[in-house]
Amino acid sequence: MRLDDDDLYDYDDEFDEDKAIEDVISALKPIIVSEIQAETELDKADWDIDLAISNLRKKLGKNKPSNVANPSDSKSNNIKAQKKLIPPQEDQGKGKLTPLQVLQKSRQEKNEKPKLSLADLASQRKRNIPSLSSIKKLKKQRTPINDSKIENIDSNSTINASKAEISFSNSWIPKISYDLSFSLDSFGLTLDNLASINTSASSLGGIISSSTQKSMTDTNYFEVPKQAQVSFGKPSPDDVVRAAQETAFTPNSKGKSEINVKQTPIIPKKTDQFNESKESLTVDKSGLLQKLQSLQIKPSCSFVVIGHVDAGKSTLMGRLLLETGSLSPKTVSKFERESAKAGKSSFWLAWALDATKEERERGVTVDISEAHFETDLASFTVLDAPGHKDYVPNMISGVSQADIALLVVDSDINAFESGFTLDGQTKEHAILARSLGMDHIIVAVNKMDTQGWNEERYLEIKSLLGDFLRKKVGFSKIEFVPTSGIQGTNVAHPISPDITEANWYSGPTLVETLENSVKSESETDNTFRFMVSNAYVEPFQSTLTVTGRCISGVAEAGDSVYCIGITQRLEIKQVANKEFVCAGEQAELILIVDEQVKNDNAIKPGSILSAANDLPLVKTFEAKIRLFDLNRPIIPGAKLGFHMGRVDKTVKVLKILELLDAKNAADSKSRKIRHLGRGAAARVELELDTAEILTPPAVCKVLSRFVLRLDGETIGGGVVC
Amino acid sequence: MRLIRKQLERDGSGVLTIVPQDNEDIWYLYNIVQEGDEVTAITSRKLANEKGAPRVKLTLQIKVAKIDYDAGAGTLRLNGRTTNDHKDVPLNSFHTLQLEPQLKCDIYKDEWDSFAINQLEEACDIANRSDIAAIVLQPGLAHICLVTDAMTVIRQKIEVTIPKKRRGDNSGMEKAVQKFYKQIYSAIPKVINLEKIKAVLIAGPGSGPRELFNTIMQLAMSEENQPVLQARQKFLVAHASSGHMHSLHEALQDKQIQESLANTRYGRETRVMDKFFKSLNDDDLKAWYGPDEVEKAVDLQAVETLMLTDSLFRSSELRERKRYVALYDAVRDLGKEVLIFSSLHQSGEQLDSVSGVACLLMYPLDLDEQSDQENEN
Ligand SMILES: Nc1nc2c(ncn2[C@@H]2O[C@H](COP(=O)(O)OP(=O)(O)O)[C@@H](O)[C@H]2O)c(=O)[nH]1
Ligand SMILES: [Mg+2]
Repeated sequence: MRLDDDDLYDYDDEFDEDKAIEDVISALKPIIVSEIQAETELDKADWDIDLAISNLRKKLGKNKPSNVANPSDSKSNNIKAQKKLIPPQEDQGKGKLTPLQVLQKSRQEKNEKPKLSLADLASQRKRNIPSLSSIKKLKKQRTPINDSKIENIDSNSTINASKAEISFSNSWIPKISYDLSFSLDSFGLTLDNLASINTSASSLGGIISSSTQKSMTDTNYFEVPKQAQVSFGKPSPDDVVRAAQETAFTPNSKGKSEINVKQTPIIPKKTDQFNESKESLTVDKSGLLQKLQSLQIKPSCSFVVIGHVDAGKSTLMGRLLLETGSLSPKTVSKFERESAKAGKSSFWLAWALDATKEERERGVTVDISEAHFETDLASFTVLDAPGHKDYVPNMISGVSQADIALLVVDSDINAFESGFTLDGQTKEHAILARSLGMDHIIVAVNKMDTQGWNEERYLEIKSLLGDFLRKKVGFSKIEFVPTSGIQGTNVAHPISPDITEANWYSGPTLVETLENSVKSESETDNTFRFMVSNAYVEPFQSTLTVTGRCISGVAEAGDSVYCIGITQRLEIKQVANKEFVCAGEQAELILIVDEQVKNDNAIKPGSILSAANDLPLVKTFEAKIRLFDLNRPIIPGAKLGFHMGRVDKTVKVLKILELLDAKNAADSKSRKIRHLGRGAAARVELELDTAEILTPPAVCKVLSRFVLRLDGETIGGGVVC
Repeated sequence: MRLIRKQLERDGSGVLTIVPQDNEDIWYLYNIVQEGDEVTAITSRKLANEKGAPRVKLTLQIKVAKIDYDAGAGTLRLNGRTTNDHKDVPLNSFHTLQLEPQLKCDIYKDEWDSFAINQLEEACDIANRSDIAAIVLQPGLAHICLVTDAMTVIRQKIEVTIPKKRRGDNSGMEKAVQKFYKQIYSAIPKVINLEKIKAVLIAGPGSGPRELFNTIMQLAMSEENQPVLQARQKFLVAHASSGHMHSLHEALQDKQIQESLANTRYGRETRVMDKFFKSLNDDDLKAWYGPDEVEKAVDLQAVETLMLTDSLFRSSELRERKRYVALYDAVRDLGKEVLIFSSLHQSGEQLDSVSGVACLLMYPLDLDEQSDQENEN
């Protein structure tokens, strides 16, 4: 869902701008032009369609020389564009500068040349950019990148490749510290670091890891009829994507038209029980494969914005969208006008995300807002979470859709402290994100303008919060960025030298920090699964529009999916604005449904669409839980709020099976466990008020982690076992 | 409950004549009547065993063999053989009596134990009763419930899907929310008696409860719904973190509500339960649950407050019931507090799931160690 003008703008003039944009796009086919590009170009040409088309053709022509009247012209254009990026002397002396320096240089260049239009930037993006994850995968396989072959690719790619390598070394190696007995790391176990955990007696991680492989047969998981056997010989759609990503970058695989599955590393299946009952996708994916190969996939990443109310989250996100070109200046000026009219002028940027009447009137985000933007290196989905305590359940659903968390804190003396005390949401949000499996957090120390960019204040917050996030909450990777959302300082562009108070800061901007954090998806299963965040019934149509996140696998139009509660398969009519959707991406799907499905409301926020009908509906299950601060201990029979994604239910504690803390575990052997108090970790039996799809983490991490709430407080986190 | 006649013998046996007043009294009767009791009430019966034969009203006495309680309908059905001579119904015929509000009945017991007397007294003590209606809601989920002295009853659950916000077009969401409020509004007169009730509490997260209240009043105004308009002062808006039932007690923390609940059974139960949890959380070894532990504490005369749920006494196993009656008597005779929790209240339900028996001690005591020592002996 891009921020479309027609969604936001009431036209007062007669000129149909949408149509003009469409005309431009269709006139330029088969060159792919984004709406923003077209609009920017139209804006520049004062909405003269023909002029805009010819300008665009000149700019983008190099991609498809056959469509361009004057190829030499486009070539010189191309060279110019390259020069903008790389100063010539560095081009030759590659060895002298580190890739990061080159990157910074080129960014500075960009800023010094404001004439470089959005369209130029957009067209640069369109060039051969290898995906970060493909590089990571190559690294993982220890395939040496052959220098001589890289020279065959145009020099832009080389730089991009080195950028990618930098971020690779930044984000890939997990720093795990398990030295603290009270950390939430027990629930942050990803499959990668499971193996590397030091199983010392005092480490909770060790205890959990030793029992993670416990079979699930003793719980009532299999209420689902067994499906046909899998044909493992065929490449699964995800393997196909992966392979395509690899060939997109591996130079010597050019021209290879068939993917040899045997060479593609298939992640060891830890989920045999589930796979046995899984029906494989029988649809032939070779067409999709070709499409994939012809496309350059940019890595995508979702991040959720969390933090105390009024920290400036919505404003900062509005700023990000504006400066990355996802929000047209026209829309913004409309917000400015309207918010001023409503007497809320300081919220003009926040209005990009706060869309409902209630949110705008109260100046408070209520539900998750979703928006997209792209940078040179990656495409991002922002999930702006509500900061208010009452809306924590909505915030939880945002976290479950995201790869990383961006915590926004107000640097103002009083505000920071109030957000950081126990009932402040800074703490609760951070703990929630960690409990739901996030191990990486970026902290934007915001509203630095109110502090006159005081370095000491920044360092003070950094050390206080850093300590808390690392030691108490257990994040393994924490990065800090000072920003001002309202003034746009250090958001997408480095701090301008005019702001002399801020000269001390030379680190990356918020956008750069985000780019460095792009991760590859972490689900081990390849089955297409999609978590619905919203579903809209279209009146008088036999379709249903759902938005959400692809948890794993890949799907395109024509594929069919299952959804619990619906007996027949549903066909995907279309993936909106895209040809396909793959793991980690947010997307809007249009499903063909009949009246019954529509009326039953069977597909709703929280529903899981899955290519295989193998997901178990569970009512009673075992889980490992970790409790935080509690006023009321948990005894059997306690009823708690259960939150997982959009799922919001009541769960009853049936039995406390064992304590998992090292120090209490020994104790509990001789004593009856009567209650779970503050900080306890335990294996428990839980019962949901109505059955829900839950899986152990090995099948699907997103469907395994949950948080527990009581009386409006988050009191614990857990993982299904 | 109206007590009309009480005729108890030295040995504890005897007959009581009572008239239950409302659904709640039927619940109390459910706790009081046991298998083996003899109950007399007016009932109807087909005298001829043929199709279409008329049902005749008559008074029958039965010896109770089976008990069925229906909370929703507020009825208690007692099944057994007749024990009185009746000109039309031979002795030892099978019959089912249905007890309901306003129906007079006689109950004979071989032994009126302290639990039965306690429940009877609770039922007759109507001075402190305070019936409150509560609506807890979050977008798309609402529970309309009744909190009375002895029970919390969900009168209606409303669950609808409300589309989430969509950029630029929120009409779908706003329409659905209005429809949802309207559904609640229409349900209110059907499930709550606005005249009898002391207060109607509307609680939930964010601005939802306030919006619901406004919508209710607007609708009542435009429809000239007098009962609702007249009850306007009884409506209270409060905060709760969700629309689930487990958030109800948060809503009842509201100051005004607390005042009117303070002396009720519900108020006492909640207070003691809070104390129990606090003690457990502090790990001060003063809070214990489970029949063996509590029995031990009672033996040691260390109990400050004994907590039992009514469901314990409904056990058809006479020995079980005797065991708990003995605990009850022992603590009461020491002059300490005994509370019978209604298993239809949240705290009683919670207590029920940890065996239904718990206690708070006067001083810390490690009952685990006690049992270890015993084992060694
Ligand atoms: N001075 C200053 N004010 C800001 C900044 N960012 C946001 N604000 C103001 O803080 C208020 C809350 O912003 P909002 O984005 O709604 O915060 P949220 O509740 O975290 O989403 C608004 O009045 C903003 O104008 C900033 O960087 N500097
Ligand atoms: Mg906001």
